[in-house]
Amino acid sequence: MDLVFDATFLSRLQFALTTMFHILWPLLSIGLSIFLVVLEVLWMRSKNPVYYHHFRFWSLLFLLNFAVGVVSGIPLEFQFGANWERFSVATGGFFGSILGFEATMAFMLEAAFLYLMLFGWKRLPPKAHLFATCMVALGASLSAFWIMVANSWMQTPAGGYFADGKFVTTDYWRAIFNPDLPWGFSHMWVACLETSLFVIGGVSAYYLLRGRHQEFFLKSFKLALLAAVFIAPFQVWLGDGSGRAVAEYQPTKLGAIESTWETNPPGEGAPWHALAWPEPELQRNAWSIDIPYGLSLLITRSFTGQVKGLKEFPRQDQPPVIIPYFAFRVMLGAGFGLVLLMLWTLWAWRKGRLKLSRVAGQKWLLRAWLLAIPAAYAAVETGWIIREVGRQPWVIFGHLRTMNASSLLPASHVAATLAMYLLIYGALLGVFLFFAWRVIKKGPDLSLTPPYYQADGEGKP
Amino acid sequence: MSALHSDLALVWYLLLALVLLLVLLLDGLDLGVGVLTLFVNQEEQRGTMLASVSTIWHANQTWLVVLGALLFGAFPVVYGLALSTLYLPVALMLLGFILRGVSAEYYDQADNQRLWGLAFGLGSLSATVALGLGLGALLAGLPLDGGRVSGGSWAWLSPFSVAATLGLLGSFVLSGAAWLVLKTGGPVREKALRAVRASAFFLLIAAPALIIWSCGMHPFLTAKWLAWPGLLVSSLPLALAGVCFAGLVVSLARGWDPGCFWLALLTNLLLLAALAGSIYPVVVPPGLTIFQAAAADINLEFMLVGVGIMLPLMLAYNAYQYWVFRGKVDQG
Repeated sequence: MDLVFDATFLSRLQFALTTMFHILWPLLSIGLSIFLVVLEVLWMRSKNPVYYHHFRFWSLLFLLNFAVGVVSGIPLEFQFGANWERFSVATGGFFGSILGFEATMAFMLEAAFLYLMLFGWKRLPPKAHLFATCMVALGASLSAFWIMVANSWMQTPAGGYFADGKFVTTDYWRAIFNPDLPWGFSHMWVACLETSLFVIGGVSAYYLLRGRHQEFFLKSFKLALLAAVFIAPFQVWLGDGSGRAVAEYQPTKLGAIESTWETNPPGEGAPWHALAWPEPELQRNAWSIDIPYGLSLLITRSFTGQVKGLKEFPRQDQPPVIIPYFAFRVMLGAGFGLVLLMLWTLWAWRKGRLKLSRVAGQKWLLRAWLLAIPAAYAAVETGWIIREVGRQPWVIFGHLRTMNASSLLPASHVAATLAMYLLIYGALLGVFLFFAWRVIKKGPDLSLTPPYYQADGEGKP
Repeated sequence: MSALHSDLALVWYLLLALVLLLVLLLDGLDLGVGVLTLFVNQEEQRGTMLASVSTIWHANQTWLVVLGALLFGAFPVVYGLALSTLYLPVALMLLGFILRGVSAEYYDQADNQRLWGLAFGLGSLSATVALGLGLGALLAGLPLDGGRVSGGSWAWLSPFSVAATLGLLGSFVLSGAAWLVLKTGGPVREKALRAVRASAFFLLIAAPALIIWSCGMHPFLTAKWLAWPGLLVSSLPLALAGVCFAGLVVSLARGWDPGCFWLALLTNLLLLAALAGSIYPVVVPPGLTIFQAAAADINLEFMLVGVGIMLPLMLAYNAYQYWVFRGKVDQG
């Protein structure tokens, strides 16, 4: 099998790498944009310039992040037509219209109001500026919504049927609100919020650790922590719900995530293979550390509920197992790690250790927050690996196989663009880290004069 | 084919033509500014040019994303066919957009502004060239052979697509230069005035030449231009473009900046409209019409409701954005 020179394989690799790179940025844009709304509201209510300075500091990081997000996202839209022509023709009417809604409702909203938010301080009255900030946040989240509609529909296609290889839409609402969407979208959107919170908290922890601008960054640190109290456990609950939805609608994906080969006989519970070594070619696990009844309990909420094993399905319909299986364990570890960090920090707060005089001494706690930044990103990346690899060998689950969806291109052309993306995305990451590091090293600019409210608290447009 | 289907296909053709015009006019404007930055040596002047588009280039470019997505939904066959056939120009275009997008946002933060300014200029140039090659190749036609494009994966490169690229470059430089005349003062404005003059005269020759060349390639175009109502419909925008051009010359002579800007934009608009109007109802020459390529009625209808609500809103807040940042940019 000459995989490397196969255009479909190269297109898959290209789509996987470009989406995995792209997703890093909207994650933070979505969460930070909402954080900016919160900061602006706090500033307008309290007239305390510290919130304005926070806004300016975080909005600079937001812009650096947003720029990479946009430029790395545009190629994705065009890849559907360029590399996945047969997919585009088969699904275009519906799938394309969803991307059309994203572009018209969300993308443009964000693009236009971003600059009103960043450069409009002197030209807009306060409420109009707040409106612009809200529209940026709305655009970012709406964008996530429509993209998740498109992706969820590929997981659990609904609202129509396939005839002659083309999707015929009969019911738009059912296609949009397909079974995966409620779980898929909420799990992803909350992942964006959670990642952003740990980035905000982690960056703040960096300053606290270094003893710089402590009073300033203790504010954002505590804000992030307070939000994490709700968000982090909520995400665990959403993850559990998503897992049960996967079991119902995509049993092969669940089989791969848990490396479950056998269906448990009636009256017996399916064990949870906490750790195992899958051997897909032999349709079994070489070894496994099991928790009896675990999987039945997780999925069906009963000791002996039935969970289907992969052997129930023909080999050609089974997804790869090793990648989703281990990716799931990384995601789980990172997710629970963030919950534990949240609890640890809460406990330290209760013990009075987050006071201005003592916080810099909490070295290990603050270091853990620095570590939480890559952990949060790793959770999202592995989550997407599970979601997408677990859907294989289908591009539209149960209807269109990935190998029948690509464009009939010369492999050399796909290889050339793949090399281009590797090169330029690598450069983008380097450039972003360089500029972001400089912004962080420099710290907030406390000399900026707030445009509307002076120290005496009087409003002035 | 039902009457409803052809009506919907026509509506979507018009909508997409409108969005394409917005791309070519608005994004053309900041792409043109980007190309023009390559001809400036002083960093201060380049900074002024960049500042003149810093608040609008992103929204302008987003019209292209809107165009791609709506084409995907309304004419999926065209979307798949065009993008996979134009694989390499599309890659060049994306490379250009990545370069200019990131440098536009990072320019202000950079120590080495010359480098980032160069990236912005080169990115704008390569995006423009790629758009020109792609649109030129589409206009020249994709010879279809049983639903597949014949002619190989380099079919987009032809003397005509190169000529069309030059024409598009002229059009973008005209828009960009006219924008700079409107938004800047001092030496930048002086240079921009010269660029308006040069690109306008270039287009005066290039646009009719491209139209005659297209007619030579496609008999259906010639037939349309020669038949009675067609002649009027197609030549009217062209004649009006001539009038606008005359007005542009007068504005240039009188030093009337807003007139210069609006008339340059109108000239571009009319030239592009003449081209778009004459090709209808074919969407990919020579053989693919909008009626064959359109998606199912239910998709077209549903999209029409959504986009019908969104489009006026988009135009409104885009206009508001231009309004808030009106006036000449701060120098330096």
